[in-house]
Amino acid sequence: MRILNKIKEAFDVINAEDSLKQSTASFLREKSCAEKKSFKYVYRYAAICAVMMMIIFGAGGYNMMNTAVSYISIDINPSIELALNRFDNVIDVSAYNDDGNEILRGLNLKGQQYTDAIDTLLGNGQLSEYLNENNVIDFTVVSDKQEEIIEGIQGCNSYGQHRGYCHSADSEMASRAHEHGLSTGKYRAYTELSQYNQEITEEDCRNMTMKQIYDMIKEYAGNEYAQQKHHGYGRQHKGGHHQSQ
Amino acid sequence: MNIVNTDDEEKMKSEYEINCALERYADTVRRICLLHLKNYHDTEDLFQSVFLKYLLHNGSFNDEEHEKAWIIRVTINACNDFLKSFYRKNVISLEDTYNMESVMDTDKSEVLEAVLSLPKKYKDAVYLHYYEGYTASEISKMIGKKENTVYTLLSRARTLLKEKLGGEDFE
Repeated sequence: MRILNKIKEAFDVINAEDSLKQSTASFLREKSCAEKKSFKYVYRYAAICAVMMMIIFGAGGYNMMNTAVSYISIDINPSIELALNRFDNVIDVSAYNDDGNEILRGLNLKGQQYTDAIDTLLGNGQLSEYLNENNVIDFTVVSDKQEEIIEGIQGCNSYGQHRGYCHSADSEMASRAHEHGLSTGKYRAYTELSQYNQEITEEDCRNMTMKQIYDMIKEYAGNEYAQQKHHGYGRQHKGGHHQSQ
Repeated sequence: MNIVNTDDEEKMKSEYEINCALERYADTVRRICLLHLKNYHDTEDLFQSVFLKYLLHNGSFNDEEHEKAWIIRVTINACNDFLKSFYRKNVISLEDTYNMESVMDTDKSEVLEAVLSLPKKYKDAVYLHYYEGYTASEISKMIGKKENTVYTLLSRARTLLKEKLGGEDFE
């Protein structure tokens, strides 16, 4: 017999022992279970992480949408304040006197851009009753980007049609105003008036119209002051811009 | 929380596939182990290592021949890695080499001993060519050597075997 055939025959006899196959099979079974388990754990952790990320970012996004970062106080006699989120959408509307409550009844300004909300508000029939030559409309902005918001207000259709003034105030003044139950705009006017008449109180100002407050300031400070500080005051359909920090 | 099977999980071989592969290739792996390893425990380790690679292998095979060639290549590489390992070089096994005569007649045992006594570099080529019937070209791909090198290995191995076993009825 040729040797090469013998090589074949010799190797033919070599077979894997059953014990070897069994031990390998059982080792692989264990490994396979462990691998599948580890896959399950990996995907379980991935799923948990994904849910947590959604909660964190979802909560962050929700927070961002629902956190007020700017306020616009609109005062004639009705005192109304709009709270705006980071995207300049109205997220809350508050009235600071009965007239304001009356105006807001039936009005839904939430979710609107502040410019649209102002147009809606000033276009409202009840509010337009106040928009005559005996009254002034006063906007006070509390925001990190007050210039931008004031420009936005001045660009509103309704702003140019009425006698309006824009002011800015800081958040400290807004907090003090709210502590006294006044809108920021009225409180700002009160602080200005109280510089001339220290006997006047927040309570006195609460029921005064903005025009009455400005008239008193004008009385104390003289015409010059009013013209200087409230540029355009007294002229219909004109808006002035004054910043009070 | 429900965990569905993922793609990766599905790619892992089933127990049935593993058992089939063990039935088909265990003898081949065992013979290659015999060429290089000295005892049963080393062989057992090698078996686990080779078939674990098979279990985790994500690629697909064109056919059974392709699969077998993959198993052979992995086994040869695993044997080479094992022989190169620090453990293998520095620890002397208490078990002796397999006693061939206990499993086969003297004549066959002599042939097998002759093949096993060849230098390491010749053994794979001899086994793959004379037992498995692979061509030099196929062997070159499996052991990662040039085709001409394989021819040389086979030629030198034949010479050595002739010397050991007597040349008259070699071919």
